[in-house]
Amino acid sequence: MASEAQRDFGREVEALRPYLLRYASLQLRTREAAEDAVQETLLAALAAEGSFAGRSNLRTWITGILKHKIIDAIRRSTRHQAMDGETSVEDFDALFDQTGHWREPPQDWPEQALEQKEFLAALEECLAGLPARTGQVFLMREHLGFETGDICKELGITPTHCWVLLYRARMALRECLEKGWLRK
Amino acid sequence: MKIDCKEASRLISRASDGDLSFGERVRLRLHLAICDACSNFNRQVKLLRKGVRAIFQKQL
Repeated sequence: MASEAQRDFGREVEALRPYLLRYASLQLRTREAAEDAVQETLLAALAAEGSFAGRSNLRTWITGILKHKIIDAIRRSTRHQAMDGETSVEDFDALFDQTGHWREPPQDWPEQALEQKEFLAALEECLAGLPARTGQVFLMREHLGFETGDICKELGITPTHCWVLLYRARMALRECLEKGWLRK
Repeated sequence: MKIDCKEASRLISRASDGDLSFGERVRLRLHLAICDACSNFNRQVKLLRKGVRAIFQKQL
């Protein structure tokens, strides 16, 4: 039977579920994959209660476990994913005129944007709108902190594909943010 | 050799992944010195990176 302390720990872990689910959803796209990763994380956390003891922050600790589960899920899913139409830079050529200049020059975003809820919310929305593989590679790079060489290896793509996907993500995000957030 | 904004935008993206050769870095720096639009894009790319970190750290 579980002790009082174990039940408390269980409740604290369970209380983090909504947070973990949002976190996983940003990276894994399908609700199902995100729920699986969170489920595995909660189970792993409960099983590893002893190794948490005394550490400072439960959320940080569990988020660390979740990151590993997300990477596992990405590895599993790449075998089944096609890269349809996500590997060309040419679609962005339309953003430049014949002399190679921006048709709509990028604006000077205020540095304080980072402290604006609206900016972060708009960024989250724009991220969710990226094509699946593009968003995944971008978050592997910017959030999970993979080097591009490691992303190529994990996903079985060439370095050129990798930087094209990152370029696409950045170009699409800045356009999306200038249309949405900056206009307000 | 001079580059245009289209080429510069690609180099800016790759630069933030640490993939530029010495020659590319020089060409990009010379272009940024004279181009406001690309300088803005360069800052945007950095803000996107900080923004992603902020999303995952703070408001979730």
